[in-house]
Amino acid sequence: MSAARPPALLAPGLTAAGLLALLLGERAFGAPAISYVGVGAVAMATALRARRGPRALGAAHLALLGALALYGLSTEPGLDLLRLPPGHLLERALDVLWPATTTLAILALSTGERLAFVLRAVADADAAVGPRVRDACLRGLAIGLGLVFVVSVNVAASARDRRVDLSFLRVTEPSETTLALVAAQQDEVRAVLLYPDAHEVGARVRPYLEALAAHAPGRFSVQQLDHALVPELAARLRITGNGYVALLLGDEEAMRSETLELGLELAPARSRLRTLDGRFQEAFARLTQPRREVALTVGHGERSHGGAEIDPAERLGRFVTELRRANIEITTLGIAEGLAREVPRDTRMIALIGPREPLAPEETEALLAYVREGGRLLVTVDHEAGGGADALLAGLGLQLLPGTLASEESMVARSRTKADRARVFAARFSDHPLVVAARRDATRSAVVLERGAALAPLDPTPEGATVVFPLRTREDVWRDLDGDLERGPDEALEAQRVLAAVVLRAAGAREGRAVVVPDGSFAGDDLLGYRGNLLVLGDALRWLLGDARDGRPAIVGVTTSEEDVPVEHAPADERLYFWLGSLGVPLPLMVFGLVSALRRRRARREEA
Amino acid sequence: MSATLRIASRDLGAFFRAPAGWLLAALVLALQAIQLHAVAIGTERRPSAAVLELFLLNAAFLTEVLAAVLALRLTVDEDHEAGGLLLTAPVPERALVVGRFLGAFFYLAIVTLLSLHLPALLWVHGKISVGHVVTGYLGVLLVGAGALAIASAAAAITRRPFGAVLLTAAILALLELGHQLATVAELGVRPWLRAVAPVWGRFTSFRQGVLQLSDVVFFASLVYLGLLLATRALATRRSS
Repeated sequence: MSAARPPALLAPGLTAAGLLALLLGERAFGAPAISYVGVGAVAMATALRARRGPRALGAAHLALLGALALYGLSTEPGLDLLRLPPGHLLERALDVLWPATTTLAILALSTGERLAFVLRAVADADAAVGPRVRDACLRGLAIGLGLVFVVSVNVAASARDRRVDLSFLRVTEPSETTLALVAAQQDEVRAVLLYPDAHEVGARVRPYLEALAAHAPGRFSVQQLDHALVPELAARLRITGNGYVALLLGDEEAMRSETLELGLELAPARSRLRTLDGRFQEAFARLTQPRREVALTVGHGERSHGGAEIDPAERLGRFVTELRRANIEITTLGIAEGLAREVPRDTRMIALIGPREPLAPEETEALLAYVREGGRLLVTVDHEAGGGADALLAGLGLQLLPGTLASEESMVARSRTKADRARVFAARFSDHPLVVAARRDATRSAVVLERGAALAPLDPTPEGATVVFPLRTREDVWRDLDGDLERGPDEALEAQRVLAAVVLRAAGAREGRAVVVPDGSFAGDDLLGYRGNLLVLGDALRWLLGDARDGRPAIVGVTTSEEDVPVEHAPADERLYFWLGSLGVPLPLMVFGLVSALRRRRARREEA
Repeated sequence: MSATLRIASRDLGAFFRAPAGWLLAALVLALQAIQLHAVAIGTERRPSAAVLELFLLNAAFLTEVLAAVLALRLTVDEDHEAGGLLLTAPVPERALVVGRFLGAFFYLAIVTLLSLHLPALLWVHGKISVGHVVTGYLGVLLVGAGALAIASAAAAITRRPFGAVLLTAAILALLELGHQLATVAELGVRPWLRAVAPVWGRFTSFRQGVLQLSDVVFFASLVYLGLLLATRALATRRSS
């Protein structure tokens, strides 16, 4: 009588259950008892396979037991048993060996057991079953070796990783404003590039400084030094290492300095290099330009830079930054500072940015008197603010026409809703100094207004006032009078005036100047994100501060930046891009494919 | 020409001989264009580099879907005449698997490269580098190669075309979901879950314009492993 044959799935079932128990014992419950039961189950399966079944399966089971033993040795009790000191080479080897051998054993075992199950009916009769099961085990082993190889290569690649950053990196070139700033300098400014020779960041900064030196020889010079070689200078500048640009003016005791930190690592320096021109301009202006102040009016719900705005896009963060780059500080001017009586005499320029509440008549009169006496005034005003600045505009010879500017063509898509019609752009510039930079750049930028209004001259204009409108929209813009942003029969399409330059001349006084923009949010962070707006603002500041009382020209303007730009299309372009991109390539491809397939089919049919 | 390349060119030709190959290419390109305009550019004012990153991310997912669909053509079904012929053809399993993989990969690469005009629009209007686009597309091709290798293995295991598509999609979905599950997984497992996600994990450097050795090695490993599995599975089928 032959011995009873155990069920075919007993050994693999025991192995699988044992491995599961081990996993749960070690990972889920942290219970050694469950782990021991698991190991016991695998040992029983090994004994079963050693007694009966193809020898390859017995060997694979033994290998699995060996792998589990390696795992046991790699655990804390196992290491205690081996009495290995912490961090011993064998400990690290065990950490690699047990997963590798376990993977190999499981894969060899599973492929072999699978075939043994398929061939169970002929296992006793067919002598070829043993070799076939062995081959299956070897196939599993080969896959396991491939897996171990792949994991090893990946671990090695992670340990010895290399990165090459190919994303956009271009160092700014000196802007016209910076070149003018350097050229206007009387005494030589020395730039010391504190970097070792051939340093990757220093090598990118040097061409920028050399371009300035070439533009203003004798007024600007560059030298590159290692921090360690100039300890006295470093100590004086309070610099502890390389990675800086120091700007020095004057000699010895009278020397003044400004420093720019750019860093030694290229990755964190990328953003600084992209905006190098602005950073350099700010430091250079601090070193060479007289400190000036611009007074922002307060007390009428103006846009502010203090973070109190409900809409962050209307904050004056960028506006303030541009002023600071020219060493111009911001002060405030309200009733407490004498706005209702007389503007303080030393006020160089006043900015009335988007008031939402009316100005008192006394304040209006004080501002007009200030401009008549040679003062400089920047006004950005909303037509929806209730006419609180109408008297001031009238004193400048201007009026705001009713209605919000709207267009279906000259608009910038933002929300893809009808509200975008009130986001109108203007790009028709005159040759007035107020728009000289924007005009030069007109092919790629425009001035954008959000719910802006149109300006018109008062008839008659106040005595001594000259009003010029240097910027207009195209003829496809209407003044939306009923607020529905749909063009009605009474809403004619015409070119609208959206910027005014006013000159007031009083006998014996300096020429007073005012710039008026019919959009209170013009100087806010959102609209100043448009290059055209920034260029006009730069020229406006330059025009207003242009003939400074202190005898030195005020050089204010935009900087060059290689910072990324938002992607946005005007609707007409967008439609074209959309259809070109969506169907321009796929449609011809599909037609060509279908036609050629049909031709081929017809040719085959004719042949047949 | 070696057997591998002969099989590859035959399979590539088969893609373009059938109208379905052209239709699939046109559909993928249209979807790429739509995702660029509707999702990547969308309604927000994103910087051009961010638009490119988002476009590449979506393109990589679309490529995974395309690879899963291409699994339809990677199966060798012995119940069909062509499949039976292939199984009994006097060519080694490796040549058969690699040849079919290369045929599908060349098709996927052609379709992918035909969409290069889309990032070119961003290059004209924004501030992105050619290197960023090249790195991103290299990443998309590597994702495609990795997904096709998985599809090859799935096709060799399941035999049936739709089974191969489903298995490929399931494996890719599991790998990608693993990255999302990493946040709640055991600490020791997290890096592994993140490291094996082709798009969410390994494609990140490519879409940022960074060529990273470990990520290139990962995709090469995925291809090797997928093709190894496919070869072994096919060998088992032939021997049985």
